[in-house]
Amino acid sequence: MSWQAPAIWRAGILAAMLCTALSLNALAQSRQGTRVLPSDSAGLVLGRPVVDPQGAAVGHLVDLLVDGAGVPQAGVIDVGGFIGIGVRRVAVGWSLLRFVHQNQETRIVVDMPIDDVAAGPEFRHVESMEIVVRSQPP
Amino acid sequence: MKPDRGVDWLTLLIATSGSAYGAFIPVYLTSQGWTQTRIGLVLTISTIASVVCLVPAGFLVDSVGPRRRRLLTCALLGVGIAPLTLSLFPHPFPVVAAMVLQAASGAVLTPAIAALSLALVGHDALGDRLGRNARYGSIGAGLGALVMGACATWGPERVVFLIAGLLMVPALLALRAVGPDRLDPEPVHEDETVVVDRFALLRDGRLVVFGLCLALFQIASIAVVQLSSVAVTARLGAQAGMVIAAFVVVPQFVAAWLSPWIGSLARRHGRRPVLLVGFMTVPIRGLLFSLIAQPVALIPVQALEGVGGSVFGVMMPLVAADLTRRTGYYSVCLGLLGLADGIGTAISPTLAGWVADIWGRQAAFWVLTGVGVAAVALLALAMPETYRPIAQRRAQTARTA
Repeated sequence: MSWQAPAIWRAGILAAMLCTALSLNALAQSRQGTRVLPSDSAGLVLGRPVVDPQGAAVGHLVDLLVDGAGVPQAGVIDVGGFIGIGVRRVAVGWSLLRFVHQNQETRIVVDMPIDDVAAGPEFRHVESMEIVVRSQPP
Repeated sequence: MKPDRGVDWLTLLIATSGSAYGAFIPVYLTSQGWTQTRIGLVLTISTIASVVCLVPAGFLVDSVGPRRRRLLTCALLGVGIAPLTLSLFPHPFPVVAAMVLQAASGAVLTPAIAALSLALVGHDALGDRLGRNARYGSIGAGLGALVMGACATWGPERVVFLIAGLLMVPALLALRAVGPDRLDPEPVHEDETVVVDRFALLRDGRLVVFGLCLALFQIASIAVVQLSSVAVTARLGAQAGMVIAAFVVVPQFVAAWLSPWIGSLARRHGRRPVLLVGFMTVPIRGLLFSLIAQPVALIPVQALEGVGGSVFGVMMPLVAADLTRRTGYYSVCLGLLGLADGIGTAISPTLAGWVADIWGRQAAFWVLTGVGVAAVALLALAMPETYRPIAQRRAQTARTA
């Protein structure tokens, strides 16, 4: 009876090695379809603060409007308010937004003064899809 | 520290900590990269939790009676742990758990503080005590809004919740300073029969009328500032923050100034006149907001919200105490009124937003004003005086004896 136990162990070790090899192989295969982005070439944007060209706080980027081809059409910004009261939701044309990736952070700049963003039409999904495409003439 | 001071500090610290919630939660979760759908879900869960907890929490406070101190400690710990969790672990499960914990602890705290006040001073001095509670609650809410606003502007958003949580450490110390209950402050059986039927409260028509009045008050009141401050942002852009801050803070400081006086007025002249004056400020404010377009000119109008809020904050627990003097179940009664308050608060922005979408913002102010008039009318026509001074009660007992 004493020779059976090592045999089972051997079988067990063999099975474990096989499993490891298989999973390592699977990992290696999944790695084949990836690439590593250079740092400061891209960043997360949802929920990040938005500033105007002078650096004044405008609000937060809360969502994106994307067309059928996956190209962003506008950024949806929550503008102004005091501890959340009086916040307006305004959609700003994609061409007005600049994204600066620096020191592992993304600075979102909207190319118009905060007063003009705040005065834009209130954005409500489906019901009111008007977006701001340029600063209003004074 | 005197027992009175202990309750003052408790109400102040709880109100300061509470000012981190409400409209700021979506701002905070957005800054943590949460999607709008998920934020909406969390807010719905927390609203449901706070509605579901109100009446059972009242029942719990009533059933522990004089041993409510331990319950208060637990509730304070809950109100402290919830914002710390929000601040340190802004992930889905901890956030939902924290919001539910906050809702449950908050539902316990409000009636427990009122019951503590009643036990400390008895029915006849309760108006003055609740006036003080409202004063310190308003100071806390006003200071809290300013501190949280400063944190949110200059620091990372999570500091707001860190502070909100840490404030419960001094609150626990303040609770220790509250002395023992006054022994049997006003033995009811001395001059009146106590109703032992536990459903007597639910059959009291005055409770239904008062609850309806409170709900209408909140429907007419809550959305006014929200509606106008969104318009202020559109009009003033960068300067809007200061004006909206004034909209929020001015009423709190007016209420802090007036509340003790409201409490003593209610003792000297009865509840009805005070309630009527307080309720009348709501439609007047709605009308002024619809007439005045200049945002800065609206800041003094917000003093009216201070008057209304002060009357609401003092009279809701005071009338509840009147209604339950013979039946008991004070905290259950507060829970039911809190339900009416919560429903009104929830309906108000929805109704105003809906009307504003179809007929414009002006029409929304008119509808809110109309609801305010309805609240005053219901109060004037259907709500009887609930206060009977102790001398009057003694006289009546003497007659029946």
